[in-house]
Amino acid sequence: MTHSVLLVEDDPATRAQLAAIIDASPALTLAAAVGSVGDGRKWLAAGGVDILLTDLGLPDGSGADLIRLATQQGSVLSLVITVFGDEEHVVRAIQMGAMGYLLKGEGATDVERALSELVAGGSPISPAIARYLLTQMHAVPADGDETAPALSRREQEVLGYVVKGFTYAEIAELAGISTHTVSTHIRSIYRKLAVHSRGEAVYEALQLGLVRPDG
Amino acid sequence: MNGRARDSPGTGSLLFPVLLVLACLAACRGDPEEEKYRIDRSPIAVSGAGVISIEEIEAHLGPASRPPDTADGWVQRSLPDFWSRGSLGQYDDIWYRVDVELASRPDELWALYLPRLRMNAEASINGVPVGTGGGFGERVTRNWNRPLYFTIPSELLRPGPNRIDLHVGTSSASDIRLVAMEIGPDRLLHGRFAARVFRQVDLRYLMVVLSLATALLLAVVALRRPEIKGAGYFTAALLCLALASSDGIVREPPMPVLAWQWLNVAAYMLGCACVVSGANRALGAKARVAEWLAWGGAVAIVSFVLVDPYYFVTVNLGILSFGIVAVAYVAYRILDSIRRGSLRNGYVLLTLAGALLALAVHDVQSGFTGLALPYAPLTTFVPLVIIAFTTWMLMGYVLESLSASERLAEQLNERVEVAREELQENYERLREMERGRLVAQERDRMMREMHDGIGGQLVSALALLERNPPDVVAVGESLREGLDDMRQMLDSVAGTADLPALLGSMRARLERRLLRHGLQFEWKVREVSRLPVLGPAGMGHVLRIVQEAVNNVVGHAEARTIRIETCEAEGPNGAPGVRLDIADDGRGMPAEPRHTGQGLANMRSRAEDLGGTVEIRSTREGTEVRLWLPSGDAD
Repeated sequence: MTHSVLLVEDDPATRAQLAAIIDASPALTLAAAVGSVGDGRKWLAAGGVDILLTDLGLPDGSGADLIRLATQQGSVLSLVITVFGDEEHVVRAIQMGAMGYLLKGEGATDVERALSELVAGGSPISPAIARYLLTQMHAVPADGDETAPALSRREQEVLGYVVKGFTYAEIAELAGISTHTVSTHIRSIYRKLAVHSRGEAVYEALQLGLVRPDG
Repeated sequence: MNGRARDSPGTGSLLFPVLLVLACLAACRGDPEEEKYRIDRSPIAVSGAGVISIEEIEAHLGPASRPPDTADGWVQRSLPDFWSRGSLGQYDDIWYRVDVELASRPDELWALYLPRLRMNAEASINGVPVGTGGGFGERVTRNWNRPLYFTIPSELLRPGPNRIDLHVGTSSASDIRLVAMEIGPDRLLHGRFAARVFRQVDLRYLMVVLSLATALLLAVVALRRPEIKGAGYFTAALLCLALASSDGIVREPPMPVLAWQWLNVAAYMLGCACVVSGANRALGAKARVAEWLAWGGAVAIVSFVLVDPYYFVTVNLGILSFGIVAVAYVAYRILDSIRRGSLRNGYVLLTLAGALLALAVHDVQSGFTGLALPYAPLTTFVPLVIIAFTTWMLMGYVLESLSASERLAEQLNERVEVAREELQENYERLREMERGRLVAQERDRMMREMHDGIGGQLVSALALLERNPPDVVAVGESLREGLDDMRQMLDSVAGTADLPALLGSMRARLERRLLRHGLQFEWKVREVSRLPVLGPAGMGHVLRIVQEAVNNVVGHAEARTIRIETCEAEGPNGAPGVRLDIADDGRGMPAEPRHTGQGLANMRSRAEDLGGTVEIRSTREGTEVRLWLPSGDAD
């Protein structure tokens, strides 16, 4: 079974490179390679997309809107394409529902691995992003305060290992859990971040005029 | 504003002595006229209950013990009566007697009032003693400046003649005087007696205390501020004159009467000489002749009194006149200073001196013509001139320094304001410089990082590309390394002071490249203390050190694993810190490669920048780079 990928990237060279990698991969098919939010919206609306691979800075808007749209459809997994993998861009994408990020300039092997991990339930996370999440998301509050997404003790432990540079396999061994459980924890953290920020995101979208209250 | 503040207290300070003089003058006025019963001859017949002034009286020389009972030797005298030393001969005592005829026995308390006498008296009425002013004999009580008052119970009086016996005694060094005495109801006489006590005794007492207090003040000034001219002389003058004045208060001197009298004359004369010298100095007058005269005269009179103890007869007038001349001289000096314009408010002082002068002249005149000095003598009030002078002088200094300090404070304020503005400017300039310095520093850092990292990779990519044929794969790798390097630099500035986080980020960037070279990490990064030295620049240094070490392993070691380990460790001086080990299992370092040498030097220099050290151990089993960083403050 192959997964259909929608690629949204405005830089033609990067778009061509990624398209070629996806095309060449036996596990993936390229649904479309487009360069704008508008085109991406159409392809998402048309359905049949399994994976959304999108840049954030697009000529007619933000890739974050596409990610949110994909998340609303439920079955589409999103990855954000970024130059630096820096927390500002990545965390924003995760808040919209993305499940990870893909660095621009990665070779074919790395791109294929990242996409297959995504499909398999994994979520890439960098130590820098882990550090950011660890400082931004609150620990489990004693009095049930729900103003911020709370991390379970295990999730904190996992993030702490990620910060120090341990791989999922090493974390699994250190924490006495399976590698798959580590992935699950990461994905759960991502979901918490997205759920928590949904209210804020809608508000933000209303402010920006992206979503009309009646529509 | 300033000028006014300086002047007004000045006049205020001079008001006090002026008021004091006026009070004295008022107090020294003569007794008010009242009904008197003139007595022409003894016995005196009076009617009614008024005051009887006794001016005609019989007198008899000595002896001391009891009234002479002989009919001989009694002489008729008029009051005031005066017995010089010569006329007294070997005697020191006079007995007076007078008969007062009363129409009826009074039904109230009566009294005998002796306004002035020398030296002591005791009285009896109809043979019954009614009072004494103190002792007779060797130590005669000195009542010369003190009125005496004896109350008479009405039972002692009877209709018809009443005999008053009065015993007046003096010391061998003095004469005898008695002014008109009065007898009458206590309620009429006592007020007059009390007023005289106030004038002659209380005021003098006040003057002595005032003089001593001012002398104390002046002594402090003279000792601590020798540049204030005349203060020492005025101190001495006040002490001398206070001693001289005390003769009017002290009734029983603590020494033989001759010594006491001499001491008083000496104190008065030297005090006057000190006044002259002090005034000269305080007013800046260069009249040394006047001073020589004053001191010469004082010493002469003092010596004379030492030789002839009966000075009251011979030089008393000279003593008094000396004081007058002294005060007159001071008045002249004050006038002179006013004329030269060197004395502010001098007229107040001049008025004061003039008033004292008039008082003194009057004293001398009455002392010359008669015995009864109804006014307080000059000696009592000479200190006033000095006290006023002192007050004026000190207040002048105080106000002078007050306004000087006000001016100073004003200048200081201005200077502080100027300094503050300068400081502000300097601060702005410094901040500008600091900003510039920081920018330059940051630019330096960026240059260095670019040079060591992405710049070098771009250059090598360009070289690979321009090779013939171009090595496309190598170009791609070089560019990818450049990108990675840039990402690592960005990571490194994110989490300052956190070494494990930096290493974690580095691993994420480095690992795939290492895997391509068949290398694996043995990751032993543990939580360690925060390292304040790891600011953005410090993180960059550590990044480069680790990169250099890892690059060496990749390039030369032929190793399979790289162990990265952190732990708490003490530094060279036992300072607390953190150690980072980068160890491989390769073949050890090559003997003398130039690049490696350069790289090691770079690592050392960067570690030193952070106050840390780098140690490298290389064996055949591999190489270990140990970086130690202090966990204390950056300095």
